[in-house]
Amino acid sequence: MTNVIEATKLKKLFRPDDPSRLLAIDGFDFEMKEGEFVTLIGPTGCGKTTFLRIVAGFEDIQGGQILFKGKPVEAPDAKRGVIFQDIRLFPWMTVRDNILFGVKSRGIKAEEQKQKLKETMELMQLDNEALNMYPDRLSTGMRQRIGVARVLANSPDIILLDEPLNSLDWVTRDYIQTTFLKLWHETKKPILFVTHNIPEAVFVAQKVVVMTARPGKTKSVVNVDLPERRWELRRDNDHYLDLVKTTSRLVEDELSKAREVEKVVGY
Amino acid sequence: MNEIRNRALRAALPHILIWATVAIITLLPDIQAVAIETKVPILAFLVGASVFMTLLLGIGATKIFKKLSITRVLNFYDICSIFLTIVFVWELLANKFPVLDPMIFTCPTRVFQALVVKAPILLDSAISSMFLLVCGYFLGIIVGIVTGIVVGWFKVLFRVVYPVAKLIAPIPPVVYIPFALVLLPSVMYAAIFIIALGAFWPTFANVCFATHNVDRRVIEAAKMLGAKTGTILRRVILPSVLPELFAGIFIGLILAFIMLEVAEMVGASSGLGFYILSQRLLNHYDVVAAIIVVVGILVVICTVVFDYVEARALKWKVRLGA
Repeated sequence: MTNVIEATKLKKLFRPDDPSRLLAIDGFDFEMKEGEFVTLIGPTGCGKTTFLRIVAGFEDIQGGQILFKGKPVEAPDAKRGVIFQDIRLFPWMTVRDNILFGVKSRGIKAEEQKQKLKETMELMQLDNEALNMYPDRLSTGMRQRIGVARVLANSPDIILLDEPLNSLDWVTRDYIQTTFLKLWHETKKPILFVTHNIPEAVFVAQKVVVMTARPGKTKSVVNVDLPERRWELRRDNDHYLDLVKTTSRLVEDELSKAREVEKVVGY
Repeated sequence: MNEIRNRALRAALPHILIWATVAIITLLPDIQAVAIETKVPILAFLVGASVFMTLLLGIGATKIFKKLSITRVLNFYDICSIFLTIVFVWELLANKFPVLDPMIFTCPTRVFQALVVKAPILLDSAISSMFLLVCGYFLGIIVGIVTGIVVGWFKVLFRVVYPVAKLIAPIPPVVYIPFALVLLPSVMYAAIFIIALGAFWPTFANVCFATHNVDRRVIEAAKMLGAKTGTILRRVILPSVLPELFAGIFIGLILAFIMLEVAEMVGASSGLGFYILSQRLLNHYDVVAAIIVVVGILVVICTVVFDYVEARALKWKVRLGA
């Protein structure tokens, strides 16, 4: 199988003019195969979100290379859909226009737009009543469902999730997790999920990549050999809990180092 | 009980003022030297106002229209009370008791007479003025919005143009009138140019600055959904700067009105500004006051339309204060 994402010796400085400060990522190698569901986990400030932003095309890099389906990533693209932690809907558009923003921007035909809208609304359990409302009047959970819907309506080649479930209630959280697990099960669309929640990371992915403290590198990879129909898995499953423990230990090693780094660099 | 008494008083006040004014106009003798030809206009206006306001109160009390509640009607009544007090006191001091200089201060009766007698020429002047205003204003704000977005979007351009604009913007556009008159083909073009310039600067400054400071996170979201620069400018930047844009074009509207009157006074041979100046030279202060009333009405109409458009365009915005 080909690699969807391939990063070699990646290097990212937040202040290229002053290399002593904030070396976010240094010598990071990463690869993700077609059809994989991977979570990226690590202590705060290890550069996991930065890496996701590099994959999305939002950040330039100071060394190494980043390939998406064999081609270097240069700018953001509809092929790589991002679901943000802070959602980022367009407040001046109704829910309908928010969901259809991508398809409209890419000049998709009106009939197809309608079809997409219907599909994603069903998938994210949005009713017609919500369509004409403005996002600022909706709950956070509802808004994130729309954030997911607008990306899915765009049918990206890969879905990048940047801690999207952080500020959500349990019901919505579980619902969005299940949606992605089912979506992945059905379509085998590659998903890269960045989180700092260890049980969540293990629960959803096939492969958990643990990053080191800053500057981020790959520390180790945990293969999650749980059944694919993950949404049916009980959260007290022994093997699942073992995997959570293993991952926790790996992350904990880095936590003390992360604290040291914070002290040295400061903000 | 107190609340009811209060409301009754507020409802009665404008009517009392109206009939008191009617009484002094008809019963007390005029003291102004020049005889007033007709008192019908002001009396018709006052009686008409009383009837209209009674109707409004009736609608408010019976709740026929949801939007016209009794609270809103009484609010309108309060505003009317202020204007009616001014009319009453003015008439009293300028035409009934010798307090104010009757020539300069004229009196409401005369102003209403002028409004009716000079109605055709007032209307012509108003149309001519509004034509200039609309042309100049829309030219100014459209150019301001487009250039503001473009300059605000390109960082290099912003760094050069914005400081220069900040230096030039405070110069009152009036000072360009001599050049405008010489360089442009007619006085009309010169007036439109000066009005457009008045509307342009505040629009440009607000839109440019707001575009520059637009939330980059939302831009990222638009880019990852596949939007190209043109789409981003139209569907993301433009709507997100709308609050600042409206603040800018409102200042632009006020400045456009000022520029309109100045331009007409300086060079035009028609319009309200020209008319006001020519009537002043003839010492027709009643007509001058009538023109001021017309300008006032036009400004109010423009701001009401403006507020309506703004509320429609910004209905997505949650007002935390209200």
